[in-house]
Parts: sequence; structure tokens; C-alpha cells
Amino acid sequence: MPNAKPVTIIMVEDDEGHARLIEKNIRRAGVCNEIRHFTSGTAAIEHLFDPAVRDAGPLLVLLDLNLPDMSGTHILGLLKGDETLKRPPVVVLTTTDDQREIQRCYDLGCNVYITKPVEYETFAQAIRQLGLFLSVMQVPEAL
Amino acid sequence: MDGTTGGRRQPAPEHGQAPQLDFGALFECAPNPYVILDTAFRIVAMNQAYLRVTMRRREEILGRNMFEAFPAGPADADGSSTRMLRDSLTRVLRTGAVDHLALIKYDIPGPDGRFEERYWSATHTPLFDHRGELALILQHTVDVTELHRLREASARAGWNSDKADGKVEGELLQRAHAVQQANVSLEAETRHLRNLFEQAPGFMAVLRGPEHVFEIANAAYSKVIGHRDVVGRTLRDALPEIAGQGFFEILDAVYQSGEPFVGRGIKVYLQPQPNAAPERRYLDFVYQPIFDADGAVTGIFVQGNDITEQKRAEEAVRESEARVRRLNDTLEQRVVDRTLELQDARDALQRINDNLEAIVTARIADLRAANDEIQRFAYIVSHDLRAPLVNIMGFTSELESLRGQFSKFLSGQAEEVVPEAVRVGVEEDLPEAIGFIRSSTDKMDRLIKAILRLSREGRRVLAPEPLVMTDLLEGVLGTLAHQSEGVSFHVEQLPDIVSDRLAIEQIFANLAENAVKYLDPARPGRVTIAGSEQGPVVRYTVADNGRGIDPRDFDRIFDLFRRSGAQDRPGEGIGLAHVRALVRRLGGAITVASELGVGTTFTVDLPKVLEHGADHS
Repeated sequence: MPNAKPVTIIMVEDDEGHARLIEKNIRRAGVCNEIRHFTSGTAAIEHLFDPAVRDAGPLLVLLDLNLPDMSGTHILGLLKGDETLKRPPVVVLTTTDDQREIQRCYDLGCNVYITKPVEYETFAQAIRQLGLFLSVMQVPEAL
Repeated sequence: MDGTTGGRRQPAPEHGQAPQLDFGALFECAPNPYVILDTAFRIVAMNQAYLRVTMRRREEILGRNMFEAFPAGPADADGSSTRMLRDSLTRVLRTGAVDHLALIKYDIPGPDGRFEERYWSATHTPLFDHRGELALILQHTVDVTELHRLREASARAGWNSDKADGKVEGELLQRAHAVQQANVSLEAETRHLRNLFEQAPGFMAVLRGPEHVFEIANAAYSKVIGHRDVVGRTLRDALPEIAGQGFFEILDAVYQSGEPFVGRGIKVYLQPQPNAAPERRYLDFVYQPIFDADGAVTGIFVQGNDITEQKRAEEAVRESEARVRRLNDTLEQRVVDRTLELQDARDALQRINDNLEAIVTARIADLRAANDEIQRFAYIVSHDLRAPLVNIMGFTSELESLRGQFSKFLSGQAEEVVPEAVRVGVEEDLPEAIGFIRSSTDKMDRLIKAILRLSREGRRVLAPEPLVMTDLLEGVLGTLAHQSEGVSFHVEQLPDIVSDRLAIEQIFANLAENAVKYLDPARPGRVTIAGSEQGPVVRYTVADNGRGIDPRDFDRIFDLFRRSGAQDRPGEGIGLAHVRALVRRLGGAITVASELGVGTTFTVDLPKVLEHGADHS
């Protein structure tokens, strides 16, 4: 890894099961980075906008769009509207494969959009490929 | 012949100291026959000479009417003699002047009662009483029968009467006769004038003196005043009801001034009969003063016309004109009223229309909102159902992979160390359980996907474009090629349409797929797609010779997740629900006709042109 500091993965996912399956498959891809899991948008935003986190180090955000307290697109908008937090890549990982939703997310600055397939093999495959992707991607250093 | 000596007011001898004369004796013994009549022609006195010449006795005729005393004889059947006498007497009454009858044939009965022919010459002299009013008539009559006969005989013999006496007599007689002729013609003329006066269409009357005494009035006048006898009466006495109506005053003024008065359309109330209520009449009339020789007014000539009928006709015309005017006014008012009513009704209708439009608009908005709500609901539900499904399937896979590890581990162990139950559990029960979970979640996933697709289809914006249907159907059928081997498709000439391409493709893909899916294996499949234009609507039919649909299921098959017949073909019961939703969204309708074992025909009616922005969802 060329980065001096390893990338911290921020996972915003209200479904514990999904979170566990995602984590399992990321690990199975050989990704050992720290994964911080938040089950609500509020908690995730609070954490991300904490200067200690915001300015500390390279981040990658795994974002589910269907959250109980706020919509994923709202969180995406907040992140991409922030001078610092606009840089970390955001991977939208959700059940929605609605074209307009996907379009909207990319317009807001989402970097990757992945639909959670119900077919588990496909799902697991997708997550593992994401893990492989994470292992090679360059993430901007914090300012 | 003493006719010319008769004069008015025979005076007593004027000259000399005449002894007191006994006029009665003188009258009685006068050689000339005299008879005296009152104004009713009753015989009041006569002398001996008269009785002698008429062959009568005093008591026979005294007090009797002249014409009863001397009735017309048989030779006077037409009464001309008596009339001649009566006319003469009447003239005296009327004119107050002496009247002569030069020759009158008037037969009288002799002592034996037989009428004898007699010719007379008579003079009628009026006698006035002390007030100057005519009271009696003195007749002096001479029997000239012999003279008359003689003259006639001489005329027959053609004698030249050179005899002086005869000549004198003849001349005298002729002269008398001439006077009488003049009288007769004068009388005729007077009668003629009287007739004219009497029969004149206008009313006429002559009023005499300052008290306006009726001297004469014609028939028309009599008619106007209700046939009252007015002659000899004053106007005030004869027509009391006109008092206060201004006529007396006018007459007085005319009488005093000598100026005529002309009245036009003068209203007067006259009693048509005594004691009757006065009737209104309208008169045009002239009061013309009558002057005597000295230019003094002696009376008033009244002449005019009763224009009551004309006036009433005019009034009737005016009344009917007024009524027509009122009717017109009323009609106009009614038209105005009706127009206002209509306007009110129209306004009310307009308000209702506006309301209706608002109601419809609101209703459409409600429906749109409800539809949107359903779309969102379907969308959210499908996603929220999917999330736990991801877990079920995910962890089922984790379990399956664990079972694989167990199985691998157990296969490396000696059979005797592994209990049978464990081996069966890992190798049979677990795969079975996991298999059920998987097939169920798979099915659930398909259902959710279907709901999601429907909801998404409802959210898609329609984009109408001209579609060449024959080409479109060829393309649709091409995608079915792999599952429709041995099936013959027949696409007839199809009318083209302006509509949403994707929706049309999905409609016909689903219908064609259904047709192929439910063919009867007993016979070669055949699917025919036809179409026709019906005004603004285009009708397409997709007909197959498949196994058919029970009529009881005609409605069900369009419901979501409902299917018909043997459930021996894969499917979730989504296709036709989807098709119906699409057809409806395009503003069309779909119906099915089918017979079990024969085949099914779906009929799709669509608007020929789908307007941009039209959305019938």
C-alpha cells in the first residue's frame, strides 16, 4: 500500500445482517482495513464531521441509501458539499437499482454505485471484487 | 163661387152706424153654404144653406167628424176625394192661411141613401181665437155639379162657347183649376221636401223661439232621442236629461248671437227610453240660427250625425291597439324576463361546469396523488422486502458453505465414529432445508422484482412516437424465437399507431409469450396477430389455438399474481396484470375471448394517436 496511513472504511448500514455479510466478504477478499460501522445517518455524519476524523486520514465511505433517520442521498450531499469530505470516495451500496436513483447519486458525486444482489453468490462476489478494488485504489490523503 | 172673397178675420162692417147685427142669424140665413170645423175636423156648426146642399139634417152631422159625416162613396174607392179634402184642411192647420179647392168631386148620399155624383168648389178659411191661435176652420162650399156637367158636355159637342156667360164661367173655372193645380204641385213639392227632411240620414230638427220649442224633427232625430214625441214641446221639457251637459247654454248663445255653432264628436248622454239609464252618444252637429225677414233669430235649425258607432269603432280600434301595445310590452317584458332566466340558468350551468371542472381536476389530482402514493408504496415495500431477503439468502449461503465444510470433514472420518443421525442431518436434512429456503426466497425475489417493475413502469414518462406496427411485431416475435420453435406466427397487415414504443413492445411481447406458453401440445401452435382501424381507435388482436381459458377466469387473469388453468408452466401471474396496466396507461382497453380447448383471443383497443403528456394512469 503506497499510503502511509491505511484507509479507514466508514460503513453506514442500518441492517446488521447486511453489515455483517459485507464485512465478511470484504475480509474474504483480503482487505484488513479498519471498518467503522454506523447504523444511522445521524451517527455517521456526527462521526465524519468530527474534526479528529474529518481531517485525520484517508477514508472510504460505504453508504446504504435506505436509512431510518435520513436518506442516503442527503448524507451523500452533505459529504460532497464539504471541502474536505468531498474527497474520500463514496461507494453507494444499496438494494435500489432504480436508474434515477443511481443517476442522482452519481450527480451528487458518488464514486461507485453497487446494487446489493439478492442472489448471495453474486452479492458476495460483488463485495469481494470491491475489496480487491479497495486494495488497489488510491485515496487522497487528508489535508 | 165665393172662394176669392174669403179673408182672414172677417171684420164686422166698419162704416156707418149700423144697427147691432145678429151674426148668428146672419150666418144661419146666409145663401152660401157654410160649415165650421174644429181643428180635429169635427163639425161644430153649419147653416141652412149647407144642410140644403148636402141633403142632411143638422142633428145628423153636428159634432161628428167631417169624414164620418161624409164618408167616401163607392166611386171614391181609392179615397182620393177624401184625401184631397183632408189635405186642404191640414194645409190650413199648418199654414194658418186660406186654402182653396177649386173643384173637388165628392159624392154624397141622397135621401134614399144612394150616393150621388157631386162636384164642389170649396174655400177653407182659418178662424183664430182671441189669442191669435187657430181654433176653427170655416168651409164655404158650392155645388158646381151642374156647371161641371155643362162644361164637359160643351167640350164634348165642340161648341165654341161664345156665350158671354158661358165664357165667363169657363174662364173662371179654368183659373180656379190653375190655382188648384199650383196648390197641388206646391203641396207635392212640400211633401217631397218633407219626405226628404224626414228621410234624411242625418238628424234634423227645427227649434222655435227662445225656449227652443220643437217645431219639427225627422226620423233620424227621433231615433237619436229614443223615439220620443217632442214636437210642440220645449227642449228642456222634451229632453230633460241633457240638462247640465251644456247644450241649452249653446242653443241660448246661438239664439242670442245669431252665430252658428258647429260641434264635432260632442259627447251627450241621452235616455234611449223613458226611465232608462242615459247612454253615451257622440254627435257631429250644427246649430244654425233661422232668421226672419227682418234678420231676427226666430229659431234654430239643428242638423247633424250620430257618430256613436264610428266613435265606438274608433275606440275599439284604439282599445285593441292599446291592447296590442300592452301585449307587445308584456311580450317584450316576458322576453326580457325569459332571457334573464336563461342567462341565470346559463350562469348556474357555467358555475356547475366550473365546479365540475374543479371537482374533476381535484379528483384527478386526488387520483394522481393516490397513484403516486401506490407507486411509492410499491417501490418502498419492494425495497424494504428485499433487504431482509438479502440477509436470508446471504446467511443461507453462509449455512450452505458451512454444511459443505461439515460434509467434507465427515467424509474424512470413519463411518463408525460418525453417528448416523449426524451424517443424515448434514448430507440430507440440511440440504433439503436449505433447498426450501432458497426456492422460497427465489420466488419471493421474483415477486418483489415484478412489483418493482410494475411500479417502475407506472413511473416511467411515456414518449409517443409513430410506430410501424408490422416491423415492431416482427422484432418482438424475434425475441421469442428460442421458446417458440414449431409455432407458426401470422402477422397480418397492421394499422400503424403513435404511442410509447416500450409500452407497446411489452404489451405484445407479453401477449405473444402467453400465447406460445399455453399452446396445446396436441396440435401445431398457431398465433395470428391482426389489426384494424375504427375511427380514432386502433384494434389489435392476438389469437392463438392454445388450450383456452375458462370463462370464469376472464377477469382473474388480469389480476396480479393470479393465473388460470393447470399451473404447469413457469410464471408468477404478472404478465397480464402488467399488460393491462400498460394498456390502460396508454388510454386503451383489453378484453379476452376464449374457449377451452379451442383457443384464446386478446383484443387490445388503443387510441390511434397518444398525445404527448397524456397519461391515463
